[in-house]
Amino acid sequence: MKFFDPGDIQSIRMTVMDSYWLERCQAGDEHAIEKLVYTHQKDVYRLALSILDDPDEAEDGTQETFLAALRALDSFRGDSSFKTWLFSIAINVCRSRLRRRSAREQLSRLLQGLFHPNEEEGHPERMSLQSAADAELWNAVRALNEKHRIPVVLRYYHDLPIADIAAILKVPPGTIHSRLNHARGQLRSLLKEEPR
Amino acid sequence: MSGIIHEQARRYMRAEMDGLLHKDQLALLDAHLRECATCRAEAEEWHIFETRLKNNLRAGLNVYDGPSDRVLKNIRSKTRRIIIMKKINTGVGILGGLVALLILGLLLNQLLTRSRVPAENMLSPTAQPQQIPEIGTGISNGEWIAFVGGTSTPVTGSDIPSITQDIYMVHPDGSGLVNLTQNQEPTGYRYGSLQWSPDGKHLLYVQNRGDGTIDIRRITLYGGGEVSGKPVTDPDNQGYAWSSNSTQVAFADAGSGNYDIYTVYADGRNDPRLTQVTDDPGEDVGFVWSPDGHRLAYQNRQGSSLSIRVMDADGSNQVEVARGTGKMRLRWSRDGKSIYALAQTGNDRLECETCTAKPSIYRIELDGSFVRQIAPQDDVQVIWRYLYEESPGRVYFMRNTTSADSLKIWGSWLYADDSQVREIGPMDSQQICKTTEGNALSEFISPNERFSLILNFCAGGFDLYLAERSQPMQKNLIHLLRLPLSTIGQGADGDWLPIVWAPDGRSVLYASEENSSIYTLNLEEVMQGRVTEPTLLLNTGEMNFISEITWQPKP
Repeated sequence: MKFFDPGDIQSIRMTVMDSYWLERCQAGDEHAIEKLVYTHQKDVYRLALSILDDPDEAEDGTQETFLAALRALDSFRGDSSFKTWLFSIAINVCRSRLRRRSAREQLSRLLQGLFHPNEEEGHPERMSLQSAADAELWNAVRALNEKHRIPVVLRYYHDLPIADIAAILKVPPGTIHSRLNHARGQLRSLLKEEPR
Repeated sequence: MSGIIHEQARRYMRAEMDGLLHKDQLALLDAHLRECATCRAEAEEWHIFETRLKNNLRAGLNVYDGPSDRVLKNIRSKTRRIIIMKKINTGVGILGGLVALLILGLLLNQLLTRSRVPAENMLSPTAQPQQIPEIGTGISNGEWIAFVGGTSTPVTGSDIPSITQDIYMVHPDGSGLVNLTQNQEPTGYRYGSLQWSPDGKHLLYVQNRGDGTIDIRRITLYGGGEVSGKPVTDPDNQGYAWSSNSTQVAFADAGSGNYDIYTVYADGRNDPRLTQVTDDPGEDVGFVWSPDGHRLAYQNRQGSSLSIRVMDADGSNQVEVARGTGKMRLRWSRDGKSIYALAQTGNDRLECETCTAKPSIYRIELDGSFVRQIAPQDDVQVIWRYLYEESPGRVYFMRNTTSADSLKIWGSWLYADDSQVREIGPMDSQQICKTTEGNALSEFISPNERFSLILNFCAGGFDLYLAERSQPMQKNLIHLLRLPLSTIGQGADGDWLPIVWAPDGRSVLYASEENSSIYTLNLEEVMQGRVTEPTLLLNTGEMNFISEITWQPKP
C-alpha cells in the first residue's frame, strides 16, 4: 500500500533544509545562496509566468524576486516558510511589473493602431504552450483577472493550502475561498459550451 | 434525507474543494451525497473540473523548465555584489562603533586616572575553585548535553535493586564528559527533572534524598546550591518551571495541606527571595509563565470546580480570567495577550456565553476576559495536546484519544483560526504499523514546534519518524530509523526512550538502554540521504541506565 508520495517527502525535506541553508545564506555563504536559488527557481519562475504570461518577462521577474529576497534575507524571521515568504516577494514584483506593463501596453496599442493596424501579436513560446496543453482551459485561466488568477494558480498548480495563500497575498482566508469560488464559477461558465 | 439541504450541500462542496470542511461537516456532506443523486452528479462534475484544471495548469506550466542560465548567471554575479555590499555596510557599522568605543575609552581613562585608588589598597579577587565546567560562559550555549545515568544492581532477596546515579554533562561531539554530582551527595540520592534555564546558564534538577524529601537544586557557574530554600514535598509531581527571562522558578508545594505556588530566584543571586505567591483553599497548580517572565497563569481547583487565574510573579494582582470544571493545560499566546486552555479529559469545560457543553481548546483573551471555544468535540475520550501557535490566533494542535492501556493513539492534527477549524490529517498508530496490534505512539516536538519526532512500537521494535505538524501525517512521515526492542529498558511501566532535539532542530539524541550509550542522528544528513545510521556519541562504560537527557538551550 502506498504510504506517502515522493513529492510530499520532498516538500518536508525542503522545509527542514531551508532553515539550515537560510542561516548559511544569511551569513553570506555563496554556495548556500546558489543552492537556495536552485531549489526554488522553478517554482518562482512558473509563478511569475502564470502571473505575467510572458516567458521573457517571467525570467526578469524571477531574477528581480531572488535579488530582492537576497537583499532582504536578514529580515526573514521564519514566521512563515521560506517558500511562502519568497512567493509574497514574487507576487509583489510581478504585480508591479504588471502595472508598468499596463501603462506600456496602452502606449504600444496606440502606436500599433497607428502604424501596423493589421498585425497580430504572437509569441512563439506562448503558441507552443497552447498546443501542448488544453488551450481552452488555459486561455480561460489567463482570461481571469489577476485577483482571481493568482489564487487559482497557487491552489491548483502549487497545491498550497488556503492559509498559505492567504499569508502570501496578505488577505483573510475567507477572501481567498471566495475568490476561488468566483474563479471556479467563471472558468466553468467559460467552458460550458465546450464539449468534454 | 440527511441533516443538510441542497444549498448547504453545495456550500460544503465548495468548502471541501478548498480543504476547509470540518470532519463533521464532511460526514454530513457524504451522507447527503449518498442520498441525493443531483448533488452527487454536481460533486462529480466539480471533481472532474478540478482534476482537469490541475492537469491543465501542470501541462501548461511544466513545459517551462525554469529560468534560463542567463538569469541564474545574473543572480550569481549580483549575489556577490550584494554580499560585498552587506559586508561593507557591516564593516562601516563596526568601524563606526569602534571609533565611538575608542572615544569613550579615552574619556573613561581620563576619568579613571583622576579617581584611581592606590594599588596597595586594592583587594585581590577571591579565587573560587572551579568544580564544574563553566556553563553558559566561555563557550557558546548549546555546547552541553546533561543526562542522568547510573548503575542498577540486583540485591539478593530483594525485588528492589540497588541504584546509584549521578548527573553528567558531555559536549555534543562526545568529548568532555564530566560527573556533576560525584562525591557531593551520599549514595542513594535520586536525580531527575533536569531543566536548563531558557538562557542556558543554569541547570536545575530535583534531588530526592531517598527518604521522600525532595529539593530543587541548581548547578551553575562555580558550583551548585539549593534553590528552593526549603524541602519541597512534591515538586516532581506538579513540576517546576523556569520563568522565560531565566531568573525565577515557580513550583507547587503541599506543605500547608493543599498545593500553593511559590517562586524563588534561581539565577544564583545572594537573596533568592523565596515567596509563597498563592494561599487559597483548593489546589493551586498547573502554572505557566508569561512570555515576558513577569506573570503567571495558574489553575485553582476545588473539587471539580476550576478557576483560571493570572497574577504578577510576586503574587500581586490576582485575577480570575475564566472558570469551569475539571483541569486544563494552559499555554500563553506568543504576544502574552491571551491564554490557551486545553481540556485534559472529556469532563473538562470552561464557561462562556457562546460555549457549548463540549470539551475543547479555549482561548482566553486577557483584555476583557473573553473566552472563545475552539474545536469543541462530542467524544469525551478525546484530549487536546501539543498546541503550536504559528501567529496570534492561528494554532496547530493535536486532538487525540488513547486506549485504556495507552497502547494505541488515534486522533488528528488540526489547524484553527478565528474563522475555521481544519483537520490536517489523521494520526493513528495503526496507520504507521500495519502489521501488529498495540502500538504505543509518542511525539517529541521540535524546538520551533513545527516538526515532530514520532516514536512507535511496531512488530517487535521501535520506529522513529519525522513529520511536519502542519501537513497530513499519512502523507509526510519520513522513517528515520528502526531500533530494537532492547533499546528501551526492559519493557517495564514508565520505561521510555530518552530523546531530545538539538536546540537548532538539526539533530536528535537518544539513549539506548541496551548498551548505555548515547547516539546522535543528524537530520540534515538523513534528509540528504548521506547518512542512514545514528552515530555513537558516548559509550558510558560502567553505567547501565540513562534515564534523562537534556540539551543546553541556545537562545
